[in-house]
Amino acid sequence: MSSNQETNTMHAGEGRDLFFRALLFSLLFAYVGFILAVLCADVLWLGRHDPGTGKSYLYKLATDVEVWEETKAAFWLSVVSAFVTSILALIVAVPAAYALSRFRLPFAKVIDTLIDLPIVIPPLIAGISLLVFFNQTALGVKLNDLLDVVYTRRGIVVAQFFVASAFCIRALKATFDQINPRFEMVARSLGCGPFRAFWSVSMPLAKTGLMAGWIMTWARAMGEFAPIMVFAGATPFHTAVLPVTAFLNLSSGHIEAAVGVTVLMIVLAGLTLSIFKKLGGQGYLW
Amino acid sequence: MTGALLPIRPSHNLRTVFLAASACLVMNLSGCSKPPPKEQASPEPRPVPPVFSMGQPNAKVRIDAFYPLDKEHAWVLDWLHEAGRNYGEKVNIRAYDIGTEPGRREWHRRGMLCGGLLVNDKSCFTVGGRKITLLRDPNTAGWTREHFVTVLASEVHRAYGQTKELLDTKSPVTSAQGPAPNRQAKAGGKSLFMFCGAGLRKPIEALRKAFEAEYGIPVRVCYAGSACLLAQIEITRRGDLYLPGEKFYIHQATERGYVAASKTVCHFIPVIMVRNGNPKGIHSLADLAQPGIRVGLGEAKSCAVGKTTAELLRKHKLEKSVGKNVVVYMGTAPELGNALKLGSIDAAINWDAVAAWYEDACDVVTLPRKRNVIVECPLGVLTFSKANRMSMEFLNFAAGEKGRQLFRKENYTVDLSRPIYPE
Repeated sequence: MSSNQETNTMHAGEGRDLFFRALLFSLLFAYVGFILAVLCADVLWLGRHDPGTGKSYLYKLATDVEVWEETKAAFWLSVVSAFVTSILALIVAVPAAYALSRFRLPFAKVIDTLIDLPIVIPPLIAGISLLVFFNQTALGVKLNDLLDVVYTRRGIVVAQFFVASAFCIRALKATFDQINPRFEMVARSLGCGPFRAFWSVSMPLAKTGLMAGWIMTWARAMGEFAPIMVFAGATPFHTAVLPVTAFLNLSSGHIEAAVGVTVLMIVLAGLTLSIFKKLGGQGYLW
Repeated sequence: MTGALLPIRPSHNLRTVFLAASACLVMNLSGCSKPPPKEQASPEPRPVPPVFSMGQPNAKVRIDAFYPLDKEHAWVLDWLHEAGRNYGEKVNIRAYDIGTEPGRREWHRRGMLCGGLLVNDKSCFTVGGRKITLLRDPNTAGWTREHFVTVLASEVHRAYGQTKELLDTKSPVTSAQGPAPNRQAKAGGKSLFMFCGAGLRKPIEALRKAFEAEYGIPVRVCYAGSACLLAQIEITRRGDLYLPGEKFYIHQATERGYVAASKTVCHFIPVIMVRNGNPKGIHSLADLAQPGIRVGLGEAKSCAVGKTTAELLRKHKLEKSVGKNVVVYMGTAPELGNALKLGSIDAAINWDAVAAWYEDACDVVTLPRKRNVIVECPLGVLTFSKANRMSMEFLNFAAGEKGRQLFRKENYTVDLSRPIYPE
C-alpha cells in the first residue's frame, strides 16, 4: 500500500515537472519564434513580386541606383559617427563608471538616476531638449558658436553621445563591479599609486568588458534615430544616418527601400550582439 | 580637408578675377592679349568653332582653352592632348586661338580678359589648400601642369566617380553639377537651409539640384513632418526656407512672425486610394460608409491630410457614418499609403500626389471638384534668413516655370485646370 502510494506521487510529481517545463519552453519558443517570424517577414516581403512591374521588390531595390547611393552614404555615415561617438563615450565612461563602482559618492542615488535618464526618456524628447539647450540657453549658444552642432554632422555625434554614453557607463560599471577591489589594494600595498593600480591592474582585468561595452555603445549609437532627426536634421547625404534614411524612404513612399535598410540594420545589430556575447558582455546594460 | 578641391566660380571670387584682369591689362604678360575693342563684339554673339577639339560633345567635364596658339604656347595643345588621351569620352576639350579673329570673339563672349584654361567654366580652384587660377602663363602666374592635372582629375572624379570621402563630400549628384561645394554650409551662411515636409521630398530634391546647377548656391534640406519642422524653426530660429505640406502651417508661422514672403508651389487634391482593381467597389465618399470596409484616415491634429479629410467629411455630412469604419488614424499622408500597400486597410483618403507614389499597388478614385476641399502648398521665406535675396531667388525659382515643370514631372498638381488625376 505504502509503496503503491509512493509510485503514485512520483508519477504525479514527474507529470507536474513535465507540464511545468513544457509551459516554460513553449512560452520561450513562442516568443523566440515570434521574433524570428517578424525578422523573416521583412526578407520574405522583399522577395515578393511587385504587381506593377512583375519583378520582385528586392530586384527593384537592387537596381535602384539612387537608393543604393543613398543607403551607402548613410551606412558609412552611421558607422563613422557611431565610431566617433563610442570613442568619446569611452573617454567619459571609463572614469565615470570606475568612480561609480569604487567610491561612495554623495547623492549616489541622484547621480545614478540622472545617468539612467537619457536611456529612459523618449528619444524624441532627448532631441528636443538638445535643440532647446543649444539654441535657447546662453551656455548652449556659446557652445554652438564654438562647435557648430545644430543641423550639422557634429550634431549627429552630440545626439548619439547624449544617449549612448549612459549605456556605456552602465555597461562599464557592471564590469568594474565584478572586479575584486582586493587586487588593487594588493597593488597599492606593494607601492603602486592609485593611477597605476587602476591602469595596470583594473584596466587589464576589465579588458573584455570594456570591449563589450564599447561595441554595445557603438550599436546603440548606430540605432539612434529621433534625436538625430530633430537635432541634426534629416538631410539626405548629409545628416541622414541609416535609421533616418529608413524614415525618409518610408515618408516618400519607398517602402522597399525602407525595408531594405531595416534588414541591413537587423543584420548589423545581430552581428554586434553576437560579438558582444562572445566577449562575455553582461546582460545588465541599463 | 586639405588636398581637396574647391572650385570657385570666377564671378564668386571677384578679387581674384580683378587681380588677374588688372595683371593682364597692366603688365601684358606673355599669354595675355589685350581685350578686343568693344565695337568688335557682335551684339548677338554666335558660338565659334574651336580650332582644336577632342573627346565627346556631351561629356560631363568640359575644358576650354583660350590662348594664342603659336610656338610659344605649344604646351597648351600638348596638355590638352594628354588630357584627351587620359580621359577619353569623359571630357570635351576645345581650344580657341585668341590670336585669330574668331577665337578672339569667342574669348570675349565668355567674358575673359586674358588667356587661360576653363574647366567646367571655372578657372579658380583650391588645390591642397592653396587657391590657384588657371589663367595666363603657368610659369609666371603661379600654377603648374600638376595643378591642372589635379583639377581635371578631381572634376572627372566628381562627375563620374563615386564619393571619395563620405564625411567630407556632398552627394555625388550635386557635385557633378559643379557649383562650389560649400563645406561651411551653415544655416544662413553662404548656402540656403530649408525645412521641408517629408512628403515633398521628390520634387524638392529635383528642384534643389536644378537650382544649384543654375545659381551655384548649395541648398541643404532638412525633411520631417510639417508640425515637427515648425517646432524646430521655433526653437532654433534659423534657416532660410520653409515648405510645409499645407497652407495652415505657413499661416501659423506667419502669425508668429517667422515668414517674410510666401508663394504657392503646388496644390493637393484629396482622392480615395483603394486596393488594386478596387475589390470592394468603392466609387464615392459615401461608399466608405458601407459595412465591412476598413478605412484609414489622417489624424486631424497632426497632419494636413487629416485636417482636410475631417473638413471634407463634415462637408458631406459623412463624419459619423465613415467614422464607424475607420480602423486607424495615421500621423502622415505616406503612412496611409504604406498601410494600404501592406494590406492593413481597404481604403484611405489621401492627397493625389501621395496616391501617385503607390500607383503600382493602389487605384485612385477621384472626387467631384465642386464638393472637394483643395489645399495650397506654399513655400515661405523665413524672417531669420541671412541670405534674403538668395532665398527670394529660390522662392521665385520654385514658383516659376522651371519649378512648376519639376513638380508636374513628379506628379504634383501645379495647375488646378490640369490635375494629375482628372475627374
